[in-house]
Amino acid sequence: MDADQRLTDDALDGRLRALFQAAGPLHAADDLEARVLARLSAAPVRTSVVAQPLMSRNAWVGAVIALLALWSLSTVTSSPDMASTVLPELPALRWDTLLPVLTTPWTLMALSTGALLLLLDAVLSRPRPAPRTA
Amino acid sequence: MAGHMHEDELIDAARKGDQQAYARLMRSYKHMVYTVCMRVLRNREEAEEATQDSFVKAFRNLGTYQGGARFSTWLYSIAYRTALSALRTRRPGAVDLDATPERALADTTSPVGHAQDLGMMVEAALARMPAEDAALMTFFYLQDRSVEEIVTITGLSVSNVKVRLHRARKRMLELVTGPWKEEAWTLIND
Repeated sequence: MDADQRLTDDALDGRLRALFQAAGPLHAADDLEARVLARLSAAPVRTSVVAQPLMSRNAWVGAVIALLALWSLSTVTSSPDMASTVLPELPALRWDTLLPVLTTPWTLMALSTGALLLLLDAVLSRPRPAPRTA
Repeated sequence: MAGHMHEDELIDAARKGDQQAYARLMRSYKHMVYTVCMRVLRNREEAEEATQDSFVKAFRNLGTYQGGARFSTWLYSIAYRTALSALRTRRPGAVDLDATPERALADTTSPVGHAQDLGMMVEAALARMPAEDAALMTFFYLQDRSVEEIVTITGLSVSNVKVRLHRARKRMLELVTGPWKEEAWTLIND
C-alpha cells in the first residue's frame, strides 16, 4: 500500500494544503487594475445606491395608528350617548355616513392605487443599481 | 486617500465610486481571482478576460454585498460563476494547448527544486481533473476555505462539495507521482 493511502484524511489534507500553498496562486497581469479601471471609465457605469422608501417604518406605524384612531372616533361618535356626553364638542363623524363615502368607486380606486404605489416603493427601496456617469 | 484604509473602508469607498480604493482591493485579490478563472478555463487569454469581467461585475454590484460573508468569498463567487459562464460559451478550439500545465509536465523530468516546480506539478495535476473539481481543490487547499464557504462560492450542495473534494483528492494523489513526488513532500515539510 502506498504511504499516502495510509495517511489519515486530515494528514493528507495537511500535506495537500502545504503543497498548494507552497506552489502559491498563479500571477495575474501587472496592469490588470489599470485595464479594469479603463473599462469602468469607458462606459457609464452603474454603482449601487441605497434608495430610501417614500414612507419610513415610523410613518407606516403612524398611518396605521391614525387610521385606527379615525375608525375608533367614527365608532364612538356613531353612538348618540357617547357623542353627546363623552365627546360633545366633536363634530359627529358617523360611521354610517362615512362608509358610503369610503366605498365609492373613486375612493376605492384612489386608496388601492395609493396602497399599490407604496407597496411598490417598499419593494424597490432595497439597495439597487442606479445610473451614474463615471 | 486609499493609502491606509482597511478592507471595509476600501469597500465603502469603492461603493461610493472611489476607483483608487477599488484598485487597492483588486491588487489584494487579483492573483486569487485569476487563479480561480485559470483553473476553470485553462486558457490564459480567457482567464485574463474573465478576471477583468469579474472585477467589473463586482464593482457594479458592490451595493449588493451585504458584509455577511467575507468579501473574498463574495468576489470568488463572482469569479467562479463568470469563468464557468465563459467556459460554457467558449468557442471551439480556444484552449491554448502550449500553455497547459500538462504540456509543462511533459517537459519536466527533473526533481522538484523550488516553488515554481511545485506550482508546475500542482497545475499539471489539476489540468487532468474536471474544471469544477480543480476549482474546488483551489478553494479548499490554496485558499483554505471551509466546505460551507465553498458551498457559498459555488452554489453546490454540501454533500456535492464533499464528494467532489474526496474524488479530486484521490485523483490528485494518483497524479502527484514521478521522480519529484517524495522531494515535493520533503520540500513542503521543510
